[in-house]
Amino acid sequence: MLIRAEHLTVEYEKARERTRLVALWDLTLDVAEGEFLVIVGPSGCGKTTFLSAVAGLVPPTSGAVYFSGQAVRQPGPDRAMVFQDYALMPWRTVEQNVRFGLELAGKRDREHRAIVQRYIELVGLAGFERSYPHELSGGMRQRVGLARALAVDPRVLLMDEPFGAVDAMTREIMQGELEKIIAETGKTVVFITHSIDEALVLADRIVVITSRPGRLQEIVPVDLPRPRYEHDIKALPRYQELRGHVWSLLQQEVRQNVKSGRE
Amino acid sequence: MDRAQVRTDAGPSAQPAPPPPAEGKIGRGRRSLRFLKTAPGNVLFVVTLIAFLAFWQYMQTQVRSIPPLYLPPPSAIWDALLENFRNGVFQENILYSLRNYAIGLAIGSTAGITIGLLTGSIRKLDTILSPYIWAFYATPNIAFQPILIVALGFSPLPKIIMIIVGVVFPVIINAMTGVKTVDNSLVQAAKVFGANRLQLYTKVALPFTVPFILTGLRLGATRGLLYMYISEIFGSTQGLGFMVLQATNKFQTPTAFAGIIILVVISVLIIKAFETLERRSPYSRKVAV
Repeated sequence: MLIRAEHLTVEYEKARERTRLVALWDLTLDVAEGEFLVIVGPSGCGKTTFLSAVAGLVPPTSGAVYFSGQAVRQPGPDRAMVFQDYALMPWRTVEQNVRFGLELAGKRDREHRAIVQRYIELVGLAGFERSYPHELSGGMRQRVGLARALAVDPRVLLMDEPFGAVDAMTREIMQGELEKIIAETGKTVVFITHSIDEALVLADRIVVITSRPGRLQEIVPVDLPRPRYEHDIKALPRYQELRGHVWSLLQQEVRQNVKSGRE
Repeated sequence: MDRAQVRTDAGPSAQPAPPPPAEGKIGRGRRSLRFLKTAPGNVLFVVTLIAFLAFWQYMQTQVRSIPPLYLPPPSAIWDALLENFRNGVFQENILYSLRNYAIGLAIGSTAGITIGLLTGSIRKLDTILSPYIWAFYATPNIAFQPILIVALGFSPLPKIIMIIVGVVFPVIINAMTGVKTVDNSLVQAAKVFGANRLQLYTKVALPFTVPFILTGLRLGATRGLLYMYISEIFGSTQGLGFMVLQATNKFQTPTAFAGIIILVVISVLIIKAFETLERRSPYSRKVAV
């Protein structure tokens, strides 16, 4: 197993109210090497907390996260992240943003150039090397975010609702391209979304998490043919079946939240 | 059918749409108005300036509504300007003022950036220093000038100190704000990619703060000029401010106006320079969200 969460519990101190918020409760989960794992759940279910724990940004309150056998204590270039709000440095060009991770690792400029160029081309940004993020559309910014993550050659890509801020049509195109890129690079991916369709289009397995506290509800293997961007998988009966199943798992939860005014 | 009837019945939609402006018809009507509408900005500026000066000249030589002692005509000011440059009085005083200003600006901005970055980054320091920084920022610190003169005399030193005091606080406040408001998602991103503490500072916090510092410098430079001028008005034997005061005391108002015009030109050039720096800096790119 590449990633293993064992009885992972994460609590946040809420200083103002002097209470503790349980973001994740006793989560045990494995991610295999080369797997595309998608986590779905309602807002505030601790999906992002899980990613942060794997990334090493948030320490577990109890339990542990193991990454290729080692307990995660701090961030490292073997786990790269793609952020919902892109988190690109606005003062850096596309090229300089993609180079960011390599630069921190202290590699020489000359070695960078080929790697940076390769990933810029892979995500389809050739010709935009000298553009600044504010000159790009949302979809293109996220391509930069993806290239930056891939450039450090991580063993896992942690993607936190990467297409959440992108318009619906661009989103579908980005999903297809991501599937292609992952097939090409063979990366392990942990991907967070609250779109069931996005989960079904991308995932090998879908993990459904309940909210407050975030608890594992069910793992749904997605046995749809690949590459999915070439097939019209949404028309398959199996797709509808899986979609119905995931939706029924989430529905109850979401209904409750709407009633209690959380959403 | 009266007009009120038409309005209430048909509403605004019944009114005929204005004809689309055809090419070559822009600014129909009187010639002067057409010129105002079509002339490029800088031409417009020069033309209106000349018109204004001509009006001023006419009023003060022909009509004399205000005694020329208080408001001399532009021609007299021009003569005074040339005269004072010819005998070297202006050069001497401008150099004195600008030398003090340059020293004060250099020390003030260096100190301001350093103090601002430190207080912005170190919590304890912020807690201790912030109240004083804000108090000095809010106060017209020119109040200290008389005391400085008593202590240090008419030398350039009290003036340089006043310029430093003028420059330093806006720079501190802005640099401090920049470091404190660093976009958290950028910090998270840098951490994920393995940035250590030093790298978080040099690769995220500092570049993020550059535009704030540039804004601080622009504000500080403006304040510095103000403090320079005032400190030369009280308790000085040289400088632009002193020169204007002296000319006024001797009822040489054209010379005083000429001095003020030089101050205006210097101020505009300095502020424009800082503005350009701020605008051209690659770090001033909009934060993209």
